[in-house]
Amino acid sequence: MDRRTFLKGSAAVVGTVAMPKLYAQAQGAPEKIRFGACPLLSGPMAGAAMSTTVGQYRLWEKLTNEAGGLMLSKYGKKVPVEMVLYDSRMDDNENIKLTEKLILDDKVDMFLAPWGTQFNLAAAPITNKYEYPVIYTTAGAEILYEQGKNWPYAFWSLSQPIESTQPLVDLVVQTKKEGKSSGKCAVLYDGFELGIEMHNAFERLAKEAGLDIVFSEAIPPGTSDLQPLVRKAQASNPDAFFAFTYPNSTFPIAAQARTIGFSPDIFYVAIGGVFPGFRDANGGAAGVEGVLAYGAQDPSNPGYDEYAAALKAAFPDQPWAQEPEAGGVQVYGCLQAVQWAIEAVGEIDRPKIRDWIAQGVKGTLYGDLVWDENHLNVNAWSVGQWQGGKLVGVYPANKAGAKPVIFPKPKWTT
Amino acid sequence: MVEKSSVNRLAIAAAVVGTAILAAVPLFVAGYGISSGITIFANVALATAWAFFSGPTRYISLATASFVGIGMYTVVVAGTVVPLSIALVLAALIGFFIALVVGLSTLRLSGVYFVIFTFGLTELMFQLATWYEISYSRRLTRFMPPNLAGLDSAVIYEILLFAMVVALAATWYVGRTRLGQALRAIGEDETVARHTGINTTLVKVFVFAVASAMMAFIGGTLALRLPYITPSIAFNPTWSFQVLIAALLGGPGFFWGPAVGAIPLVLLSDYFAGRFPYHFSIALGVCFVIIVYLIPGGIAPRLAGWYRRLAATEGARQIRDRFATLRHDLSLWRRTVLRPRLRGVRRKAPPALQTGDNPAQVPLLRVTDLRKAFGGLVAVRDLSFDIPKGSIVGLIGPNGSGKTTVLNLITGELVPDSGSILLNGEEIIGAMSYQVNRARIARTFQLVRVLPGMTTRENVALGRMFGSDPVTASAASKEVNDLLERVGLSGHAGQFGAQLTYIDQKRVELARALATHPQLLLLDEWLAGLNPTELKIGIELIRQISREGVTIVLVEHVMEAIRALCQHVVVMNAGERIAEGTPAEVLSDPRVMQVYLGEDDAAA
Amino acid sequence: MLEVILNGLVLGGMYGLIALGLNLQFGIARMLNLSYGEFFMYGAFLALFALTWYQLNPLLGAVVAVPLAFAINWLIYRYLFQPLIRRAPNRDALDADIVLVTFGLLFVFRGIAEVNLSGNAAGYDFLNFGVHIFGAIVPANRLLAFAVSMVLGGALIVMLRRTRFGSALRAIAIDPTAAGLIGINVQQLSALAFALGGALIAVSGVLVSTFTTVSAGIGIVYTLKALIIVIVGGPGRMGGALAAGILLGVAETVALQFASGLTLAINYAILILVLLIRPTGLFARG
Repeated sequence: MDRRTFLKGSAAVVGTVAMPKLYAQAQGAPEKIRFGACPLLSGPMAGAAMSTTVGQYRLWEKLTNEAGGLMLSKYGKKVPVEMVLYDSRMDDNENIKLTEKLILDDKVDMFLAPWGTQFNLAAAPITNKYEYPVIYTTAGAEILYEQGKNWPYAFWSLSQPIESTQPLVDLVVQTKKEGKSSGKCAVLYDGFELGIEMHNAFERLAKEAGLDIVFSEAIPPGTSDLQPLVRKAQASNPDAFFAFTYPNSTFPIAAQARTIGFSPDIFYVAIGGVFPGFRDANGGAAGVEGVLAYGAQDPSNPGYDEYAAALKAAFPDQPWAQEPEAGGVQVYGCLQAVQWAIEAVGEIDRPKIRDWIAQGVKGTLYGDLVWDENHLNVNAWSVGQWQGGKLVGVYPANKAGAKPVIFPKPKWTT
Repeated sequence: MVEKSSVNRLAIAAAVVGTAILAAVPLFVAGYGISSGITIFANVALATAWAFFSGPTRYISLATASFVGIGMYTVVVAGTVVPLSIALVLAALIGFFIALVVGLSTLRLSGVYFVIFTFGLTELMFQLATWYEISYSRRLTRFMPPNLAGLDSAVIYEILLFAMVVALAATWYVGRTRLGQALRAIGEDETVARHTGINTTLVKVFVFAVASAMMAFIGGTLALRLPYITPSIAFNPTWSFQVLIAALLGGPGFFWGPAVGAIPLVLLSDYFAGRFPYHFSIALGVCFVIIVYLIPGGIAPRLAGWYRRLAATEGARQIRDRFATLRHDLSLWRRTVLRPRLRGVRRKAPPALQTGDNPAQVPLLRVTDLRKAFGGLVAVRDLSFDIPKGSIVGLIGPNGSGKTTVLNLITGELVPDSGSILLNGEEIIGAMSYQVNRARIARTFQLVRVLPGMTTRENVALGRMFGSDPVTASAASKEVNDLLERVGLSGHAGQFGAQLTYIDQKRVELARALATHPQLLLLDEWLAGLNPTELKIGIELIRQISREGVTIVLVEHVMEAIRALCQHVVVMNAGERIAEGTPAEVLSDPRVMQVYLGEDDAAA
Repeated sequence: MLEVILNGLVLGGMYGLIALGLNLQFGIARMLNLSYGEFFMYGAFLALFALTWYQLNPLLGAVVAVPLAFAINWLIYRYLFQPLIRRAPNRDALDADIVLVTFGLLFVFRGIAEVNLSGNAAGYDFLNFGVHIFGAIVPANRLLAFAVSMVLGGALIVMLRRTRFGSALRAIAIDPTAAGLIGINVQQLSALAFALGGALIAVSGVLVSTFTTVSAGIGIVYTLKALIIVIVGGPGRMGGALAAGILLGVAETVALQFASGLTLAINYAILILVLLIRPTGLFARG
């Protein structure tokens, strides 16, 4: 056999042996990485869900695909992503059914959190059972303080009830000690999961600290007219007012408070308080100056400006997308964490992805994600405040980027 | 059913095999298949349970969510202390007893008011549960007890399969019994039902309670799927609406109707929820409207129609013949090898009122100083008369003189303000209509009340099954045929009440009244609107009935009949008796002629 | 306490107006319209848009809402209900059909709003200042709504008592068969009554939107409220509806002071009690 033939033959043999391996590698790469979620897409809370969750999913999908997709090092190529979104219609049964459908029927590669404490809590046992790692972004519940460790595949990025309300209690205690306030607190809360959680935690902590809760009432489900309740709160003459409410109540409560001149020195609203829309609906920057709210964001985090620009560009005619809001920033930050996890592992290997996330994630849009033994994020913003037209973080006070609290809240401008 | 349809053993065998196959499914299919199965079984079971009561009686209930919620909370609360099976039974029992109370509302409400009431009930429960949970439990979510929280889906699947089979079997079985006929009668015309010896209150409340118990059981099982329940999950009106639409879509007239409606709805809503999330509401709404306009009876009747046409083809006939031979051989074996059981137990009449012969000279019916006023209007004033046993007594008077009111007072439809009505010496005021009927007083109505959705035979059989001498459906059929022949309706036995001519409807009413074996028959203008030939036949028929020993009260305007039939006539005007005597005496009485002045018949 | 009662009366007067429309539809035209509240919702949104899109007085939203609601309701009666009326064998069957059809309409109307307006839950500021009455503060927007309700309600009652049209409607409410027998065109007038009911609820929507948040799903809440008031007051009785509305308004406002969690439960408890004890209504004769 002459050399040429030998070389040709060798090349042929090597090629034949090597081909299946290369072939297999290229074959293994999925066409798309499918992310499934079933947040609510319709109904009265749809706006909030869109701003915080759904819009962020869509934005991330768009930006990631524009960059070619996620880099799966195992296959040596970028793979585009696809969002499979179903509408739970804010129905608990649908939520569970659709979660199971996405995992068992559609067999999505990864699962993303729905919107709302109740729905996050309902999905967690299911995603944990089928070993899908999920960062749950809109859930705060005291049961997590015990239950979290039983769901190794679930992570909780939001500030939890005790962490969110302790600073408020501390603030009142502090100002009372300094003689600046009587320490009388009034509470209104939505009879809906997070509202109840925060109210329970706050009441307990406040009582322990010796504060006087002069008014505390639940908003009956289905109430659209909040003025009588706000008046009742006003009548109790508190120095601190806390509305542990969802956006449908948060907005009218603030509006009513402005109308009837109810302007205690500490004024807190929970969900929805961080939306730019809240500021705009209540007299702009001057109107909401000093109002405390649930959650915060830090514009000094890496990538913030690019994110803000991309958000606006992706949804040019949507009012909620004109400016970042704290909830949306948080969700996007968690999406980054998931993205980096996948790229670090190099393939869709869910146990490995879980392990990577569990170490903690640094440098997201939302800051660092640091998990305790229940997978609760101890580095979450708990309280924010409107200062100069911007929603800044004030608690935890020792977190990087925290600003000092403005006290007392200036009187409402009408 | 009165129609002699034999129990189709083949169908039952098929059902058993089908159930076994479904039960085995979890061994082969995992995950989403079981999840879908759970959803379908739950919907079919709930829709069937709903139709168990609301289908035949037409009391449309939106209380499904109330009982689903009751079941859910019972299981979640009781599940902490008792095993699951007991918790589920407890759920059914609690649902049953609460429904007994709620069911009493059907005494006061019907139609659209009942719908509103049941909806309000659900909302009330929701609000109360929310208030309680927030105020006392301090949380809205009630988590499943740990021993139930991790329950395998396959277990839930099997329990719901069981519930579905029970619901279907119960509906199928009841539909074939007297109870089923009673339910249908209530839905067609509750007044007729009451007057045909059916204790409508007992029937409605009991059946409603059974249906609700099933719903509570199913609700309790559904709770096992969820990590926690909240009032808005448990008492969600959606439960009520989706079973309503499923049952209506499928058609509540057949026991498999709701199933036929529920399955496509579950599949459709899954499809829609995925593809057109924003348009789900619109699609559902359009669905409702379409059902009302295009398929008012539901899909089931259409399917049944196709099946009938298919069954009439030659090929089907051959198959049936082959099976008939097989059945014949089997039954021969059974009769000669196994011993047949006695079927059909005669029920005794309730002890409250005497049904036997009366002693001596006591008149069959004695009315004394009867009085009834409606607000300021006195309809019957100090009325007294006797009806001797075996007689035919005429009750005449101008329109508005109170004759029909008197009949209503006798049958218990109205309660007099004062006075007494003695049947064989015993007071019957205060007895309910069905009890009066069982005491062997029957009537026909001035405006004919034939049950339009039931056949002639079924209408008449109702009287035989529930009257004073009730028997089972199958035992009734021979006598029903005889009665039909007697009134000349044999040829129309299978026609629906709505299809009959006016005359035939009257005959049905008479036959139905006779089927209750009355000793006293009240005929309210039964001979009105007949041509001379028909009138002769009618008069002869009444005469025959009287010869058989039935006492008759004839409320009439047709004087020819009064003269021909009555031994005694009572004349009323403005609620009072103004004359009494033989027909000849009364019809020549100047006072009587005066009140009839202007009446066409006065000169006749 | 005076303030509570006063606010209760103001609220109640408005509830009366909300119920009057349904009274026309259910009490006179005898159609239980479950999609009633959806016209409230559309009226409210039109008022909202008048303000937010065109910077007009939101009450001008009524200019579009009222004729539109009138026309659509008339069409519903004429083309959706009349075929059912013709084909129904008896009253109960017709009632069931109507309930189902209007239920379907409820989903359709609400669905359309959800598709186009979802997430547009909003309130707006209009006349949001307090008015001093007898030392109590009543918000001006509610007072306006109350005043308009009283005027419209009063006009309606006068129309029913003093005009031929009104007498015909009352006759139909009492006994449609008899009314037909004395020459009243029952179907035509029922259609008009039904349409008028729709127009009234649209006006209510415009008025109430000045002080509540509007979202696509609020319709059913007002349908139920109106239904409760109509049943409590007695179907067909306008005065009864107004009285019942005031009763409910005061009861709710008082309940809010003392046991706010049960405010809505009281609504339904009253409904159920009235249905069971006096189905013809608290204020019905006899």
